[in-house]
Amino acid sequence: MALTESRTPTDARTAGAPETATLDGLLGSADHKTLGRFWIAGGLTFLLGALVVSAVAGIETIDLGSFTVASDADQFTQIWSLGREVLLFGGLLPILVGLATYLVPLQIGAPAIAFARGAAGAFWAWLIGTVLLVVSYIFNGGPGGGKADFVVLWTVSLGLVILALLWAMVILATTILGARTIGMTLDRTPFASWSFLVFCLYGILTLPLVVADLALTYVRVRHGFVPLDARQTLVGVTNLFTYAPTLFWLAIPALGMAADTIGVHTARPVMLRKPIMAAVGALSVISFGAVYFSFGSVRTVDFNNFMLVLDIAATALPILAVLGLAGESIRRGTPRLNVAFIGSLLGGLLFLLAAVTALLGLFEPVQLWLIDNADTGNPDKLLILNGTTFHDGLRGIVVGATVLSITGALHHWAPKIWGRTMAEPLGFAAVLAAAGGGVLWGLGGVLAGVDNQPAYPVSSLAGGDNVELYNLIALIGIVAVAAGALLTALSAAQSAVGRTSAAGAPGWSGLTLEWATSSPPSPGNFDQPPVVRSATPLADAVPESGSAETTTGTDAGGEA
Amino acid sequence: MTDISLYQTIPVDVPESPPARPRLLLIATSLVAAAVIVGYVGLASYYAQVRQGVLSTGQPWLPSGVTIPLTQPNFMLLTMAFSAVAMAWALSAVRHDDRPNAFIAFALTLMFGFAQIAQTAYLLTLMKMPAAGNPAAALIYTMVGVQLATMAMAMGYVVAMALRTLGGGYSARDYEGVLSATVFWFTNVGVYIILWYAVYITK
Repeated sequence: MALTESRTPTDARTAGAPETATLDGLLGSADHKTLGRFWIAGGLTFLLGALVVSAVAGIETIDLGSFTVASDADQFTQIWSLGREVLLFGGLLPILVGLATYLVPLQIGAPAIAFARGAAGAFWAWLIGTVLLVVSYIFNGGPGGGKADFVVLWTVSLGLVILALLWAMVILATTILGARTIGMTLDRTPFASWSFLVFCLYGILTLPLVVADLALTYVRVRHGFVPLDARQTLVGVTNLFTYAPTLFWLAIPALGMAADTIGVHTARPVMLRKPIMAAVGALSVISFGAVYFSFGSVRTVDFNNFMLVLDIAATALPILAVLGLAGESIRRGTPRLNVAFIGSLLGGLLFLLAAVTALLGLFEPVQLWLIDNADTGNPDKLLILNGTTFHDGLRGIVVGATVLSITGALHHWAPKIWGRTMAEPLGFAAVLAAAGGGVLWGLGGVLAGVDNQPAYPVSSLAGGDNVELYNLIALIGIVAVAAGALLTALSAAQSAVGRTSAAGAPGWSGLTLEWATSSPPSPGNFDQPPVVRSATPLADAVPESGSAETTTGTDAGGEA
Repeated sequence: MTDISLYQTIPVDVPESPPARPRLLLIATSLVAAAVIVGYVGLASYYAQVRQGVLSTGQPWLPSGVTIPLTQPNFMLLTMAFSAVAMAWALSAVRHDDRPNAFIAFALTLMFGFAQIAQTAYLLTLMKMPAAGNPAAALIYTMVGVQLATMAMAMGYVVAMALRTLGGGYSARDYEGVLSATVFWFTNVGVYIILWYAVYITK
């Protein structure tokens, strides 16, 4: 099907031939299931690499008196920046895009993703861009880099990565908006797909700001506007997405997946659908954070502070609402204490911890409002957190929370993704490591920020008396999160190569359409286009005269 | 008593109509258009911020010797307006199965696009803006470059849809692709309007 083909994806003939296991069959595949696995595998690989690089940067901060790993401040900036960028654009976002690419067509009853070959192009463009991004850093590019050509390569490759992710999000949003099966209105869309829609729309309306900044950076670097000693400032290009409140963008799909998962593993579907969907959608209000951090708004200090207060407060409330409503299922149902349930629940709780911690960042602007102007010159009167590593600590909690959510989601949907369950012992170890690591990483960064350690990049590492201890705590946290991610990756790899039990009896099955397919689903996903009448289509199946009649498969004459 | 069967013109066994075709291309194009507008507005607002910062120090914004004439930008604005009309004409022609008019309109649209690109190149030579050494130069070249890139994408889209229409892919029965190309073309016109006001008029 051509990229511009507008033929309905419900045409089974366009759903794709059976997948072959040959190399060219895999490399040329446009099947959303294959692409989803590629995204997840690639994202997990780069996530591990990014966490290792972040740990290396963390080692540098244990001894502020001298540089241990890096040769100077510029090289430290490069290491730190590489870890930060690949963590988000090479690790966490691609894994979430991969989960969405795999799950969305199954959940909405479509035989394929919209613009399948475009989706394949997005993956390969992302992969090439991420590899080039790493190469640019290796050859002394990136923020703080000494070679102009490789700084230009950094700009171009990061732009390619972001454009690829943007294109993948356009395709996912288009699929959810336009390819839902008969009877599936938006309010009947499963929580995960709904959250992916909000997530993708948010990205579509925010990532272009970074692309525009990169275009400007390219011109500035290419034509010598950025002298060598000012290249550290280029790190500001990605600040929009690596600091709160925009960073809480990752909570949107995490909470949606958690709502689906918790409902299944408590045997009590989450009842208040519309409030949960509204709460997940309300998280997108943090897009106003883009106004705060964008490089282009003409604003006053008061406007800055007002937006910051609004954004951070608006982050905590929706997270609390979703967890509270999901908590009803836990209270009324019978929770199954497996990795899927615990990982998803802990991920949500860690996001709530991050949102509450972010409220600390309001102290400075709130104090500025309350304290008389004459006192603002007195440092003892103010808790200064902006411009310190407080936000790096906050990012640590969010990364830990996202790793937890991804672990829970992979364990929950593993029967559909690989046809096998994932190993529970490895999963529990991963959850423990990621949860503890996220808390320690956040604690270390926040305390170091309170102790006045300036935000990176810096010309020299500095801070208060206990900053080195706090940085050590953060480093332990990074290592623990990396261990959690590694265990998740190992467990996923085991399932992928068939080393765990088949999904014939995974022990759970949901009420949404993906559970009506085989494990893993066949090409085309469904024998015939399913017709749904509610948000829980599998619960609508009513046996009649001894023959099974479902709304999803064999009986094409089901009511709309 | 009236024999109601005389008025039953619809057979009772007529099959259900197929579900409406999902407009995936139009949805995707609309999302991409929104992304383009957001990105360009962000770039323009950064331009305004930096310009304001320079002007507040008492320094001139444009380097000495650089002028931005009004004739060429205004003429390009008119050209883009005509191109929008031409593209709407193409859409209308396809919707009415008027192939000769459709191809004339497609060709006109592309011609206006080429004209705008050529005029931009001419304007850049008139401006005599240095390539390096000035923040205004970097921003203006970036904004003009992104607008030209958007124009190139829009023209490529129009060519693709024109060829598909030529091949019989689009007609009055299904004109989604042409409608999508029209949406993106209008977005492209919007981008130029932002550039025209933010750079060429405000200077």
